[in-house]
Amino acid sequence: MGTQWIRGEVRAEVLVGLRPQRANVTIRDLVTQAFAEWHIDVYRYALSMGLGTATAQEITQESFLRLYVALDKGESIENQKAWLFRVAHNLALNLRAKENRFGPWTPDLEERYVDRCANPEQALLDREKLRHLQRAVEGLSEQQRECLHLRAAGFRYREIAEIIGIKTSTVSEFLKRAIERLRKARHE
Amino acid sequence: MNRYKISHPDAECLLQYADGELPSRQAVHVRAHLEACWRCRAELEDVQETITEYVRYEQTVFDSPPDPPVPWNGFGTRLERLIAERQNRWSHRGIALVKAILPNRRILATALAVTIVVFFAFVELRHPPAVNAAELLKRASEQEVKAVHHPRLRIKTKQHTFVRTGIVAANRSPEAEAERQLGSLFVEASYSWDNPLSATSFAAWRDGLRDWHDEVVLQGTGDASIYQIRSSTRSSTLEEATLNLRARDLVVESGTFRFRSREWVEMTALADEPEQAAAPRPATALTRAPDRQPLLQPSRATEELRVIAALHSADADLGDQIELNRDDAGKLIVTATAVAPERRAALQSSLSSLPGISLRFRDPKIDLSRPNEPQDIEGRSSTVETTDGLQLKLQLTLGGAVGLARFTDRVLEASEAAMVQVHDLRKLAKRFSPDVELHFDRNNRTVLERLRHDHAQALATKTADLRDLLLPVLLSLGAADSEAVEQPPTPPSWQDATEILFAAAQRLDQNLTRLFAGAGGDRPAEVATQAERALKQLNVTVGWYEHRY
Repeated sequence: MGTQWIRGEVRAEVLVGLRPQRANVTIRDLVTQAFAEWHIDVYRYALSMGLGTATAQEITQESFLRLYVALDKGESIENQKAWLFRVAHNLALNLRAKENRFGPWTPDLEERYVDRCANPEQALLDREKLRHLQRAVEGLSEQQRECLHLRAAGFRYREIAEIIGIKTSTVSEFLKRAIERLRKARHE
Repeated sequence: MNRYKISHPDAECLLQYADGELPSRQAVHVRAHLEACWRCRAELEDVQETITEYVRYEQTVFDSPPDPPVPWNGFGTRLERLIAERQNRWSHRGIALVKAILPNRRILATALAVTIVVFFAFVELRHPPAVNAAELLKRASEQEVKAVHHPRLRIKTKQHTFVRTGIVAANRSPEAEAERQLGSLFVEASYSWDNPLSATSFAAWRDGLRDWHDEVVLQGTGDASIYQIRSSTRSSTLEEATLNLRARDLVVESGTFRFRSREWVEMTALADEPEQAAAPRPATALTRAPDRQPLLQPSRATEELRVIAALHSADADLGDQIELNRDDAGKLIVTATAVAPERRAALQSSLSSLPGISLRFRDPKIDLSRPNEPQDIEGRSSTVETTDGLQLKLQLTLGGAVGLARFTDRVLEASEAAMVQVHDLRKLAKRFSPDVELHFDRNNRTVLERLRHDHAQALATKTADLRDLLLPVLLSLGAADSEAVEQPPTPPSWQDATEILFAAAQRLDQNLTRLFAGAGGDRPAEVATQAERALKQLNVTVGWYEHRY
């Protein structure tokens, strides 16, 4: 149901009686709430696609603005989170195509986040393990990495397929291959 | 019933089970099997542990992502601005006016509903059901999802007419150049250049617009009728796009695209020729991992290997202008596109010793009446105005804009030559997967190995050229001499190793683009350091690959 949202600032009082619980929700509230809930997830996703912080932030904000426009136009969006990720995905691809760069993870991320363990020996081990895994992850294809990231973010195969624009069976295939590769790497 | 007897679920099935993605009936079977089978249970646990480890890795890297440059609360302001912009539009004023006139909104709603019902009843009586663009696109996209299809396209622009077959890589013909330019127009407008003549791509572009206007027209009658969807906008460099869909099955037949730059493009899907069934994807899709390819039968694989080796000896590797496909009867067909007449004889004689191969030549029509203007390097002024720190520094190092342009051309040429070899290797790896190779006799293995070696060797030469050319400049830009680069972990098959090689080559390619496309901004040393590292990594990987496989 997408028709319950009335355009812009016009409050949804028309529907009082039909859906009293939604009576006072505007699209602005809705988008603001969605932003509060998901903006870090979308931002992470953009970062995981190899974008810098500034571009990732821009893409994140733009996605939510587009959500506003879409809802304001009366479009019905069943799964807003997946919708946002799909828009972010497309924006990220376009931006990268424009800059003609298709980068994997930002390489410095690893250095940035490893040393946060209390026990130095454990930290060393962890760091080594992490590096090993990161190498394996970097050896995956970009779409395999995206599938992994989105799965880890809690999306179902069907949703992932919708976000990246591939078939559900392909998502399953990508995930299988990715996990197989990571498994092999673990046992090396 | 002995539950163990049910066959062991494969890796994909296990993962789907772990992810709760199996249909419930199948899941019940798998669960029953797992209860009985230690081996599969151990497998599943291993999968789970791998997932756990990956999640931990993600948490470490992404749980507290680096802060963006600007605080997030700026979003609120942007949203308010957007809302204000949209509220100023006449449609909102119209609603406000009606609201002012009709204080009781419940009556307004009822009146509106009645009007709409009456209107549609009227329309229904007089015309076939009206369809809106969004609905039509959605239905057509669903059709496309069922049958992924990249037809050959006839593309007509102001200056060129050509057939897009998907062969672009490293091709410098005017046709390829025109196609590249066209591609950048589409990309700039956020319109998929991968598969432009599709409802999915059209819908994706339309969904991304801030403002648009749709028109849907049903033309013709019966089986021949066509839906024409036209969307126009002011918020994209692609100002108007039109798709023509067959009404009976919603397949896109043709389309036109009008850009702000006054460029217009007409595309028509061409009927598939049998040998097109396995046509390669366009070059723009090279970065994507291709879908799983069906396994080659051993006899077929041998046959194909022979043809590829013969072509290689004639210096005609697959991909550039040469395609290898089968017709419906399984006969091998080599299609050579835009091959110069003097090279045709060499191709023919290289294949003459192989029976049952048909060689076809194809010449796409190219309108050469307005050739592309040659790039006039000498004519560029010696100091091109740039505020980009990296570009300035490059100009200083290389003797002005002319020096930089020359240098850029040489580097990109060398990198392109290396990429061609990597792509060739990758094509071999994809076609002759480990499973296929398993069925090869010794003779075939030797042929394949020789092919691989030739490409790897050529690649080693090209990457060394690239290093000699690039390294001094990178160091003078202030690249930190990075620590020794490690060899990648050794995967079991050369096919997997080829993917690692490909990734390294891609990374360098991407770094070079950053270096020369002016995206380096004010951190020249950092960009140079990264490029230096990627260069070193590729050289090490190439050496490792050559030595190991």
